[in-house]
Amino acid sequence: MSTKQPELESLVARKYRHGFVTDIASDTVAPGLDEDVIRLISAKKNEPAFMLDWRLKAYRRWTRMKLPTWAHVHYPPIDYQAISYYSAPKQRSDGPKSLDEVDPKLLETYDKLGIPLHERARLAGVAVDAVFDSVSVATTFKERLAEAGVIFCAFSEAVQKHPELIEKYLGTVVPIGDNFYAALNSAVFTDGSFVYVPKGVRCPMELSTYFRINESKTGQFERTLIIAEDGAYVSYLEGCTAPMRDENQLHAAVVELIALDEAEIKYATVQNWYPGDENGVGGIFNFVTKRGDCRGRNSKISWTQVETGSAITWKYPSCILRGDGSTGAFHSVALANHRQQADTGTKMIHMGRNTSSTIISKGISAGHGQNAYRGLVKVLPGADGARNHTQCDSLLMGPHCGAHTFPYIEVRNPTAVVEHEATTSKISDDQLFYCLQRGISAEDAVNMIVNGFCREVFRELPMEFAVEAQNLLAVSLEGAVG
Amino acid sequence: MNAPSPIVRIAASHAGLAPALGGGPAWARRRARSLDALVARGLPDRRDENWKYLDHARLAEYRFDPALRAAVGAADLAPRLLPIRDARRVVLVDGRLDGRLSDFSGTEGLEVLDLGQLLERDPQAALALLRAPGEDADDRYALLADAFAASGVVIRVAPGATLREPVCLVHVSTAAAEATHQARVVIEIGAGAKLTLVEHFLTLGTEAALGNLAAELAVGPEAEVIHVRLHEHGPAAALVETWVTRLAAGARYDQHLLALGGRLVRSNLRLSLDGRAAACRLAGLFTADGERQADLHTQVAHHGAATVTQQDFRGIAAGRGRGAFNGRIVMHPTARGANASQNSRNLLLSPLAEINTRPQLEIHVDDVQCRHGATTGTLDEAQLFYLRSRGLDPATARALLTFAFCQDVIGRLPLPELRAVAESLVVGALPDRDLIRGLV
Amino acid sequence: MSGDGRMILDVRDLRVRAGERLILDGLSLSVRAGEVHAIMGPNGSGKSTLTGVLAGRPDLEVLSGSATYFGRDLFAMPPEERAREGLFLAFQYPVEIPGVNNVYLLKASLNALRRHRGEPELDAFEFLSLVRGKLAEMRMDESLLNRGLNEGFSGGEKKRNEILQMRLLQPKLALLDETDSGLDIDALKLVAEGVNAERAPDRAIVVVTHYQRLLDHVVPDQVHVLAGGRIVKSGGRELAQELERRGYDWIREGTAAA
Repeated sequence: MSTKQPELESLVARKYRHGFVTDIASDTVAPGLDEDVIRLISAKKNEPAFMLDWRLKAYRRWTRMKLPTWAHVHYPPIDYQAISYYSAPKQRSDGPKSLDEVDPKLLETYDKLGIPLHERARLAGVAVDAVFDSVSVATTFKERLAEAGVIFCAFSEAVQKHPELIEKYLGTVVPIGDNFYAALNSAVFTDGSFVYVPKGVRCPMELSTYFRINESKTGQFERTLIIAEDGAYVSYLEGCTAPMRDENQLHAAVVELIALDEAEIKYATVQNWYPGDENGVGGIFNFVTKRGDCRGRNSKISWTQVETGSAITWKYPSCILRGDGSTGAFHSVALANHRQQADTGTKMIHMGRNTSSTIISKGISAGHGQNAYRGLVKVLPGADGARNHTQCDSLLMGPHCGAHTFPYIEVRNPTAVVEHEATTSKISDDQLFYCLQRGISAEDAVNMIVNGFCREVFRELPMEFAVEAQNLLAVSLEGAVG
Repeated sequence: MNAPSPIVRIAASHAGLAPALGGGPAWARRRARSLDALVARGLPDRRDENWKYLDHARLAEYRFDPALRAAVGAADLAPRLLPIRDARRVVLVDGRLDGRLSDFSGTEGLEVLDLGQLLERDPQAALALLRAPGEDADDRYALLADAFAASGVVIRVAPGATLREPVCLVHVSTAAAEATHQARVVIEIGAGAKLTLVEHFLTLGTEAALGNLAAELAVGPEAEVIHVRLHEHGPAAALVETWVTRLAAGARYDQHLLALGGRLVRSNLRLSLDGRAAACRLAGLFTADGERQADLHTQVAHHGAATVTQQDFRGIAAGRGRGAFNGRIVMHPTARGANASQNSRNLLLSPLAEINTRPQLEIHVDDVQCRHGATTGTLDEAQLFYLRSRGLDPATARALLTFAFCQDVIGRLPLPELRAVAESLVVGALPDRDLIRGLV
Repeated sequence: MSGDGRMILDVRDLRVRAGERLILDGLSLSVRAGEVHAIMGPNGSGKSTLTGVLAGRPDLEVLSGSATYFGRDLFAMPPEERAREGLFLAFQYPVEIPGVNNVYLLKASLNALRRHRGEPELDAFEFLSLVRGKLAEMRMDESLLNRGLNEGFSGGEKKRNEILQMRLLQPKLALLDETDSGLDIDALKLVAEGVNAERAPDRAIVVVTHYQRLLDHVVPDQVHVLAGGRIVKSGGRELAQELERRGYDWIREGTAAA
């Protein structure tokens, strides 16, 4: 047989395409964290008093909290005093009024990333918010959205313009003391995206945010809040990249989704933070709290994620199925190559009657990558007629990687039906040989098999993103077989 | 009002008891070391991942004072023994080997040693024989047993011996007073030997007695063991057990665990498939009706190439019962060509009952096949309708389906007489037991 | 076979839905003692819904219309009471219940019916000799008794097992839902013999089938065509033969024109 394990292993000359650094003047506060830094951040952003109080409360909670240790990931302790908690590209203090005022170097950055912000060139029908380090630099299509009544803007802008919505909803899904990283985020977050879709409105286009970490020794702590009122619909996409650096950088975001009666929110992520090199040097620590609250009856929240980047991913986009008849979904592809570690999954908390949830998780492990699915399905006593189906599949490529499945299934209602299934497989020498014999290169064969493996998840993504996700997987696995 | 924590009570009990325990200074040191480690680390609690579903408060209600020596008459025990033909019997009363109640003499290839006597007679040999528990959360109850180690049994089957008669290991809890009894069990199966071991836990009295068992089983190369474990504890009794089991190359181990009684049963099995092509099949059933709680944990580590695990666990929770199944399968890099499958099926029959499941796979090599599945739900609507369309009323149809759910485990038991006993014990542990008795 | 003419089943203007879908839409059907009816129709026309709703399948919802069974409101009776009153459904897809021995079910079922009729329950010996006789008639192996209900049975074995149950329970009204599908010719004959043996002046049989095949062996008094949730044509046995020749399309065209 012509394809043996060593060849399978050798597939590792992966190039991280987004690893450049933009040389741009930025306003970065000195590393370190105390109450004064938080006051400084709040002051720089000209926040109302309730925001500062909220941040300080979160900070005080955080100082008393312990690092979570249950995840199947290993990393040296993080020195939280060595991180800079605020970095923004220098520009007019009140922010750009239009794209013409945005630093051309920034626009160039997003062009290089394949995310042109100029309205004439951008993906048809997708409104984009770009967050550079911690600050939103541009939001497109605002006017057209405003006509429909949809608010889509930088979080800091929403704090200025819609403080009543922020005060009403912020922290109601992920409370400040939810976990170590969420508390830290609540104390220091600088920007992010805000979406509000009023009653009965179907958002006329896909919304998307691109996150970029540029500065060194900074952390990125963005906060996203999406509210869909009764009968509203919105589909939201986020993408993430960072330069190649030898150091580990911390990304601790919080995303809160709120769906009221009959509302639907679709949230998709293509996460391609810098994963570090093949020896595990550098890369982003991606410790993210994402949670959706199906607050209204018959509301729907779906999370779709393609996680190819980051040195370590710790992330469990979850749904609280509070409203009767509400539906939650989690579709995930997670890749761990080289020395990457991913511990990701979801929580589905069934509280309302006749709630249902679906979990489809596809884990791909290659090189020395460690990939764990961790998911909780919890059915509370009042959740009559709850349904869950979970399917977790792992694909292993090479003898040194790991694939792990850690579901937690807690059922306290006798009318619930909860099903969990998991399988593992590998790309077999036989499969590869078969493809080679039909004239298909090993790399193409692997891509075919991997794409087939992930099909159910890609199907959930909008077309452009699905194509991007496929390409991303192909690049991330380059050299994983040879 | 707050009682001192279990660990404080354990330490106090130990201080009073230790001088009376045998084995001389060597064992005094060993026990002191285990107690110190236990006191330093504490009993596991719900923050320990593998212990999060256990009702620690319920366990803390038990008294950790040692059970006083109580005599059990053969006539009192006889009606409770399993009617297994030609069975050889090894009886532990509150953790101590009872020679009068046991009957194992003259069985070719079978050796039974009183661990209590060995400890006195040859402390060093006993030290070498008994595993010193580690300090991780899963081994803390074994540490507890080690800190009080004074009694138990060693069972050996000689290499090549095929024991025609099943060996019954009977754990009798006298439950004459609120107390804790500790036991150590060591079982060694020689290469190529064959054994059917039927373990039976039963309670004579009605007091709240806690049993704590730490056991080791080593199955030699090409040896075959069928191990039936019948937990028939009394309604006030509780048991925590910690098994460490190792399989050498080509060994076969087939376990049937039936957790049918007790106010709380926590079973830990750590099984290691060390040798090439070692294979285990673990089947289990818990019934948590009324106030009962059952918490079954298995951790299977595949080290050898071409090793095989097949796990099929079923659970029923009714009344205010709580059940948990936690099964972890680890494929180490050396386990090339290994195969593991795990199934956990659970029935939840009451709005106040609860079932928690954690089927886990941890895989460190690509050349393996693994799958697991877990379901929790209620009885199947289509099956219920079928039975009703044949004239059965809903309650009877439910009872019959609940019983049928258990049949998979009962039907695979060895020995027809054991299947019959198990069937009647299972029925007795189910809700609607009277309805089922009328049908089968 | 001529019966006493007594009305056993009278269905009027029945509308039934499954989930969101309306399946039966104004179906009427009368079955008298001594009669054998065949209900034919294309896939998806609602045949199994009809037998299911008559037997009380819980996932079907009666929107309007009525069904009386020996003059009683059928829909007011729970499924087990219908069974005890002599209504028997031979399932198209008999349910597998591992762990419930076939013999447990037969005995529990037979005794439930006997108790209902005020007859003494059979003891184990009487029961076994009765079952053995029926098994032999159906040429079924006795080992099937101690296997899980339908567990691992072949398609043909399951169908024969349904007929075995019918013969044991002696229903007043038997509904056979595509009992012929998936049977080879020998099994088909056996099933047909079983059905014919149950024909009696005080009883009735409704055979739901896709094909004419079974009707060569079980000769119906009336044939109905079910399409679009209602009976669109009724006739004698020659209607079945015509359907076999011409398919269902001509009926649909005819009704669409009318």
